[in-house]
Order: sequence, then structure tokens, then C-alpha cells
Amino acid sequence: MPLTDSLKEFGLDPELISRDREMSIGLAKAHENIFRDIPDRDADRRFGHVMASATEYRRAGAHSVLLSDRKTAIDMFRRAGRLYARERRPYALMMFSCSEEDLGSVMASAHDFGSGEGIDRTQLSYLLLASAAGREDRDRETFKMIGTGLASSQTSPIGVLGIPIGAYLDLANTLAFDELAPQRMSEMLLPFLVPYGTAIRRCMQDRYHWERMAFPFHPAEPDVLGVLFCVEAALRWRQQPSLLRLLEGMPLGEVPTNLLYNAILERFEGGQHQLRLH
Amino acid sequence: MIIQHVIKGLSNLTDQDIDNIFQMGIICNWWRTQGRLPQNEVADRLTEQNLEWHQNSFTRPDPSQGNAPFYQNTPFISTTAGTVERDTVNRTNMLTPAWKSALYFATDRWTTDGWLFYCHLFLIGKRAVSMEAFSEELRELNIYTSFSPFYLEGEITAKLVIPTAQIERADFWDLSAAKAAVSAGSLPAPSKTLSNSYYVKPEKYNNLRKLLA
Repeated sequence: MPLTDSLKEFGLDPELISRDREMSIGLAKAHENIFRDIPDRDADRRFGHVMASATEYRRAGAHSVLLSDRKTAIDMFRRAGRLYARERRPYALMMFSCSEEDLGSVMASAHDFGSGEGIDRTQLSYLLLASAAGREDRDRETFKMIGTGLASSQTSPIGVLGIPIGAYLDLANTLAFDELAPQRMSEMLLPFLVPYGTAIRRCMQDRYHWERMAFPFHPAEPDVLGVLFCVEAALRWRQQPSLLRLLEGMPLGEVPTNLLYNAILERFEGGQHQLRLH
Repeated sequence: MIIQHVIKGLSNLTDQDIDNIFQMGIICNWWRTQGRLPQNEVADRLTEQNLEWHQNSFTRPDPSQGNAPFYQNTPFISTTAGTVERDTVNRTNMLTPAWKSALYFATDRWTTDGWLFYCHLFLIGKRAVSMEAFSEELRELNIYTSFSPFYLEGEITAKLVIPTAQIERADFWDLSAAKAAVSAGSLPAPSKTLSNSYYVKPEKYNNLRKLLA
């Protein structure tokens, strides 16, 4: 069953999501049209429009995941990724992780960031994670350089869910150096999955906000999907067990588990063979 | 004290409703439901728990109000200030202009025309839930450290009433026109603006002393 067929059961309104996606795409393009005409000397104003455009494309991409519209999701996340990359923000890699079909394309973008020189500290976690998943020697070099620098910032929260940088460090270390045993992966992914699952559960308790999608994170939260897709791509490349098996055994609750499970299936298996967990 | 510009989005208002708001300010649902402000109950309503319910339990039956849904008698008023600080953008990777968040609610999620009220509120940079004069700043993550999933980008919560002297204007947004603009690759704009003659510019009473030239 495609994810979109479960939305009503989850208390979400496909028509609202579709309507809001249309507005987000239009607003993203409008901000894009504006910043293209802003000269370099007005960098702050241009930054605002670039980030607003990226934010809207990101939202449209997440909406498309819920609507099981993979084609539009690819387009939207790719556009968001290009805008974050334009501002030298490795968060772009999380967007490309949601859009690109293979890890190689994500890593090609990661290499554009070099070893993270001149990049805001709060952004380095994303480059670290991508580098840990990468296959080349230079990815390992980047990983070591960034990892050392980030060690002192482990407790700083980043992303809309406020996940600490330490969680990215632990997961990246596991991807880079450890055997990717399911038990180990579960431990490393818990700091991402538990805040996500908790946020969904708490939001669903208030139908007013949940039905209106009036909360800052997204039911198909790109911060979480970007990480999971990156890990899943690395696991598949290394012929290790999929995160799908791991999710089946995690006590996250029905809705968060199904959202993630089906999002991974639709991302990696092209919308085929969707299963429903209970 | 901080003087913070905010936007309040409302839908289904006539021009007469706007005049009424310019006369008496934007009142909370509790005041509207009761038909008056029960002043002797204010202290019992402006509590940490009610602020949490306003954020997270908007429709939950409120035992103190005959189990009516909380929102019918909330003493708080949600507004938005958007996320514009570079640090917040760096941490969340998101930037949402205040008008967009407000318009989403004002148009009842892109289904009807809406009004955006441009106001200013007073903040003091820390929790002061029982102080009616000061609004609560949910934008500042360091103040509301227990993350609320309903924390809206740039939400500032006013109490009881936003006085008319703090409401600068009301912009009317025609949804069809807004959609047409967006489809054409432009940012939407309001169709008309009504100014509030009772508005007092904060520049008139803030504490910035200028040189006597």
C-alpha cells in the first residue's frame, strides 16, 4: 500500500498536503526569482531569499514523500540541495540523500565541500556523515579532519528536532570503522529515531495541530530521512541487512514506524512492494 | 524590554470587524467566549500549565472550563515573528518569513481570504507567564528549553488582548490573487491595507534618547 493511502488513517489530510505543496513550490520559485536579481553587495538580503526558497522546496519534497510522488520528491529535494550548496551548507547532502538514486551522486556533491574549510561548525555534521558513508580514500581523510574538530561540540543541538552533534559523530564513526551489525546500527540510530517518534506521538495527541500540520518538523522529516537514506545506501552498497529489518523491531509506534518504513521502501525500491507494518 | 514586531493572522472578517478590532484590540478567545474579560479570574488563567495547553493541547477538554475544548477559553493569543536570526537558520536549516506562517493560518490553510494584523508586543527575555503586559517568546529556544513539537517558527504568545495602540494595520489577502501571483513566480501581496488611527509608534515611547541638535 503506498504511503499516501495511509495518510487519512494517520489523521493527515492529503488534500491539505497537496494544496500546501503547490503553495510551497510557487513560493520557492518566487524567492528564487527575487534572489537572482540581488547583487553580491546585498548578500544578507539574498541569503534570506535563498534560504526561504530552500525551505519551501524542502517542505514540498517532504510533502511529496507523504503523497508517494517520488518524481516530484526527487525534483524538490534536488532543488533544495542546490540552494543549500550555493550557500556552502553541507545540509545540502541531506537533501541529495533524499533525492539521488545512488550514493555516488551524493558523494560527488560532498566532494564539492572539500574538507569543510570555512564552513559553519553547525553544518559539519552532515559532511561528516556523508564522508563516513563514502567509498573513497579522500572521504576517510575528510572524515578524520572534521571528526576531530567536532568532538568538542558533541552536545550542541542541530536541526529542527535538536539532535545533538554527538549523535552524528557516533553514527558516522560506526559507518566509517565498525562492522554494521544490526544491533550496533540500532544503538546509533536511536538518538535520531526516538526524538522523531516522540515528536510524532506528541503532535498526534492534539488533533488541531496535527491535522493542520502546524508544527515545525514534518511527518516525513527530511532531517531524519536524509540520515536514514544515507545509512541505507551505505548498507546496501556494503551488502549489509537493510534498515527495514531494523525498523520492524523498533518500538517507535505504529505511525512513525510506518512513515519511515514506507519512505525507505519508496525511496529505494521505486514505490514497489510497499508493505504495512502492524 | 524588547519591542517585537509580530503578525497575527485571522480569517472570516468583514471591514466592520476590522473597525471593531481597531477600537478594542485583538482579544483572546476566553474574552470573546465570555463576552467580557473576567478580570477576577485572570491570575488563575495565566499559568504555565495553560500556556503549555495553548501550545500542545489546544483541543483537549479543559476541566476548569466545563470540559470545553481548551482553545475556546484560551487566555493566550498566538502570533508569529518569523525566523530571521542567522543563528536559528544555521541550526534549523529553515527560514520562514513571518507573513508566510501567519498567512497559512489566516487563509485557513489556503482555503479562504485572510487578514494579517501587523502589531508589536513587549518581551522581557525570560518567562513571565503571569505578567499580562509581557508576551512569551517561544522563538527563543534557550527560554523554552523543553522542545515542543508545536513550537512554530517565531511564535510569540500574547496574553488576553493585543491593545489597539499596538496594532499598526490590517492587510487583506485575497487568496485567488495570492495563488495567481505565486503561480506566476512572484511573491503574493495584500489586496488592500487598512491603517489603525489609534496606533502609537514604538519610536514615540522607547528609551532611545536622541541628541538635542
